Amino acid sequence: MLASRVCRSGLGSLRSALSLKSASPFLVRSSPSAVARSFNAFQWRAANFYSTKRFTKQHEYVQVDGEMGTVGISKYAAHAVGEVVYVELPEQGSSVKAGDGIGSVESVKSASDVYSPVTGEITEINKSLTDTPQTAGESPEDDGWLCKVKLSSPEELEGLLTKEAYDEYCNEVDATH
Amino acid sequence: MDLRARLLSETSKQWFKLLHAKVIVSRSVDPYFNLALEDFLYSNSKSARSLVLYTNTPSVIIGRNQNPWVEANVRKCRSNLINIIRRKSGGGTVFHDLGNVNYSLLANRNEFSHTKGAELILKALQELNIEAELNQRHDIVLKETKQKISGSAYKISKGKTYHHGTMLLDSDLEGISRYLKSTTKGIISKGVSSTRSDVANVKLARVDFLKEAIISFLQYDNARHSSGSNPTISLNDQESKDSFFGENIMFVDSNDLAGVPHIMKTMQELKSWDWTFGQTPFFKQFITTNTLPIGNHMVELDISIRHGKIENFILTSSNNRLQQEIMNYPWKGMAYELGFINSLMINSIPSSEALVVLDWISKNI
Repeated sequence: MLASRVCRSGLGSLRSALSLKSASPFLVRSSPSAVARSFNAFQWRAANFYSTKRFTKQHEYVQVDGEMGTVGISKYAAHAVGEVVYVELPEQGSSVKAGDGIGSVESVKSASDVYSPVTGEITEINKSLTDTPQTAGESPEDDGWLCKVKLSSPEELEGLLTKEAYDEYCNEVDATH
Repeated sequence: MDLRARLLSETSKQWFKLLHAKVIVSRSVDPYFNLALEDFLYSNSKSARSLVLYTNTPSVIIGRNQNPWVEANVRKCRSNLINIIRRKSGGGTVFHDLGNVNYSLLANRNEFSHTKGAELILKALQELNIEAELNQRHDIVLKETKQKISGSAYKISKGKTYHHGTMLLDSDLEGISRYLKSTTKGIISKGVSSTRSDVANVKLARVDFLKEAIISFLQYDNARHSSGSNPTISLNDQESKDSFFGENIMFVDSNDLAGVPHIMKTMQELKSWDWTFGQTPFFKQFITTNTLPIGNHMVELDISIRHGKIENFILTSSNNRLQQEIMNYPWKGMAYELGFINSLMINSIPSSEALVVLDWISKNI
């Protein structure tokens, strides 16, 4: 009894990762070993990056949770941009490749383009930024997120900077100024 | 070398020269071409830093995320052949005409600075005995009167950035206030708003300003490039001056480049209604009146416009029949333009009261 309940809770996220709309109740009741056998390569890749944050040299971040990534500008970028007066967001439902433009963040006089760190489908955009764009500048890695992307190639994350590597990069940039 | 080879090498040399040029002066006064040229160089220039200089025929240039109906008097602009153009960089609205010079400083991202461009301009002005300084908004103002003589905007992308601005030399200042004064009432917009400032002309000859700005820029470029090995450029004789300028400055004309695909595409995009008006951030308009000659009835209009087209249209009136008639028109999806009402009336004949209301609506766009 206990084993299957544990199984079920652990499977919750796996099932969404599998995107099984017609999830077989059979799966829920099966033993952990049977579940392990049905893991596919995608899930292993996604599982490696389960809940991690990566950065790009263009100062964007992606906060990964399973196969969903929350994208925004880094605190460093927000600090450089100053007060945000307008945020241009991408179209909900559109697909992006890593490196594609996904909008811009405008402060008093400068418009900074924002690029997607990952490839996937934009499932949600932060509509609150239409009314309060300054949130993108004030809490960029929190409430000021720009959009959520359903990752199609989680292995891309390996090529992005970890927080430590990113912080180091920022220090280098500051030194050359 | 045979003729073909010679011509080929010359053309490719020109092309190479353009992509590596430090200073590009446009001879064209077509604002669409000039903005497209700037964008082209922004994406394709191989030079670490460059300066583009151009002058446009009278145009109102609005920022990337602004609302043209809030920033300008669209009607007046159109009847006076003033172009209305939405640029790709952020910021507020500026007025260009043949009396101002526009400068655009392109640099790599790691060199980006909010103030460098302004410093170069200030130095140029200094050489011409104009006392100017930077205010907190990074605008260049006259030291004495604090009047603004230059406005600027910035754009930051992957790898490259640009800082462009205008320098008022002998601009139509009265025109600025006339064309940039919107008469549309009741607009509630989420776009970026402009900050109005008191402006003045720096009464300099265009050629003098251009010369000093170019020298100032090339000195800066030289200093950064050779890291101190040749800090000041000696231009003692005419010959060295000519060769120096010839090497580093390139003059372009719309004839030379209008056919370049990137430039053609950008020009078309800038001229399109979808970009100029359709890129307006979502906004609403709310107006009401009770002074229409429809027998003491009140009329209230609440419309929301997305991508320059009407998304929602709600007319309320104490005259229910009138309200119904107006609400029956196919408003949704119609472009927010002065002539939209005319297109509505093709298949129907409105009552005289409806005509009054339609007329009132079209006057308030």
